[in-house]
Amino acid sequence: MQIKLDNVSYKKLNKVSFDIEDKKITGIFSNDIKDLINLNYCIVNDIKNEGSIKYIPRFSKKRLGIISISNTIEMINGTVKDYLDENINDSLFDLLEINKDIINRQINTLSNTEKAKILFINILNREYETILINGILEELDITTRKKIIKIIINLKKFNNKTIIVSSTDIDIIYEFIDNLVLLINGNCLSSNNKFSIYNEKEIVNNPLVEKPFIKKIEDMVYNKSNINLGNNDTINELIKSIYREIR
Amino acid sequence: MCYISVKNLSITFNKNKLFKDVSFNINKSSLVALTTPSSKGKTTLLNIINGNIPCDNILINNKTISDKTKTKITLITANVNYYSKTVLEELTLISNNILKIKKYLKEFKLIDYINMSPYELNYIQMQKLNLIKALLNKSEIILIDNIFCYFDKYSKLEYIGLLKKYQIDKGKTIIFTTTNLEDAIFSDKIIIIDKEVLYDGSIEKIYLNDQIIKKSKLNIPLENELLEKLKLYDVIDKVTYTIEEVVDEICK
Repeated sequence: MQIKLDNVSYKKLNKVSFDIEDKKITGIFSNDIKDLINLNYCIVNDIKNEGSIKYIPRFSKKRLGIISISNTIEMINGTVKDYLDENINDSLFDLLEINKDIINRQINTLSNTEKAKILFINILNREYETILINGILEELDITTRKKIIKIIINLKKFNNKTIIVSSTDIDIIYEFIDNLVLLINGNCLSSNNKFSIYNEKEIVNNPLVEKPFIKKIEDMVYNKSNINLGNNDTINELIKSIYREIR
Repeated sequence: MCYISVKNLSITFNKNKLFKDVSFNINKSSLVALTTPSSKGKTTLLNIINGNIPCDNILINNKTISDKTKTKITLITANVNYYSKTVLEELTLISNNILKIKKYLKEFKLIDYINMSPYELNYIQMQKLNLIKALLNKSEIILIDNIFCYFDKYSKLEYIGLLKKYQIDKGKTIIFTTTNLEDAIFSDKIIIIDKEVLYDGSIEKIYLNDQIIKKSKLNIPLENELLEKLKLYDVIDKVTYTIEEVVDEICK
C-alpha cells in the first residue's frame, strides 16, 4: 500500500508531508514518542486531522495493521486469549518464541515485550498488506530485537509487505529501513532514501538532527583522509568497507 | 552503607523460574542500573522493592517494607497519569511551596510550561515532571521502570544527567531498569539478572567481561561493537580507544 501524507496537522504535528512507498520499509524517526503515536493515529485513520492522507489502493482496516506501544499500554483486562485471534497457527508462537500456555494467563501479568509479541502474532496471522510498528523494538534485549528485525525484513523480502517502523532511536532502525522520515519537534524535516537524507545540506547542518553512528564514522573517516567508505547499513558492512578501502 | 538488601529471592511464575536465589545490596545515595533480558522480571523486581508485591526477602534500612517505608518510595513508569489542569496545579497537589516548585521547574527547563496542561508536554517533559513530583514528595528511593527506551539519545543523556545530579545533591537512591548498557553510563553499579545474578559491579568492569555481556543479552553501544570487531580483524590492537582515536587508527 502506498500512503501519501499532505500537510497533516494534529496536536504538535505541524503540516507533515511525506510518502510511504509500497513494498518498502520506511523508518520514521522522531525526538518525541508522543509525536510518533499521534502520527500513527493519523495514518491508521483513527482520528480526524487537518490535511489529507491518500491511500493507494483505498484505505481499509483489513489492509493496514498496527503494533504500537500505545496498544500494549491499553492491554489491562482479561486473559491473553481475549486478545488473540481464533485459529492461530502454532508456528507463529514458535516464531516469536512464546510458549502456547501463555494464552490462559491474565494479560496484566505479561511484560510489555510479551504483550507486543501477542500483537505481533495477530498481525502475522491476519496477513495485512501494510504493517505499522511503533516503539516496540526499543525496549527489547538484543536477541529478541534481532529476531523481530529479521521477521520484519523477511515480511518485506518474501511477502512483499509495506512496513512502517517508527522509533526515537535512529541507530535501531537505520540498519534495515529503505527510506527515512525525519520528524523533529513535530515538523517533518525531510523524507528520502536513508542514505541520501544525510547528504542533504539542511539536514547535515541542523544541530537537532542526530546522525546514525555508522554515518558518523563514515563522515569522520572521509573528513580525515578523504576516503569514501560508501553507504553501509550495519557495523559488519562498515568493517568490510574499512578493510576493502583502507587495509 | 547497605540500604536496600535483597536476600535469596526465588520466584516461580506459571511454572517458570523467574528468580532463583537472587541476592544483592544497594547502598544509600547511589544510582543503580538493573537489567534482565526481555520479560525476565525487571518490572516485577521494582514492584517488589516498591512494596506493591509483598515479599519478606527484601529489607530497606534493615527492616521489611511497611506502609511507612512505602511513602518514601516513588515508582516512575512509562505510563503517565495526571490529575490537574496545569503543571503548577499538578505539583501543588504534593507541595504548597511555590518557590521550591518554581526552582525545580527552572532547573528542569519546564518553567515556560507552568500554566500548560501536563498532557501538552512532550514525553521527556512529562517524565521530568514525574521526577519533580518524586523530589517534592521527598522520596528517598526513586525507582524508574524502563522509560529511557522512548527517549531520543540527547534527551536520554540529559535525563540520566539529572538523575546523577539529584543522587549526589539530595542523596537519593535511584534504581532504573534498562536493556541498554550505555544507559548505565553514570551509574555507580549495574546489576544483571537472568534467573540468578550474573553480575553485580561497576560499569567500567562489565566492558571487560565479554561472556557476561553476551549472556545478559544487553544491547551494547555500536561504538563497542565496532571496536570489538576492528580488533578481531586486527585493524586496532585494543578496545579501549575513543572513537576519534579509532578513526585515527583506521586512517593511519
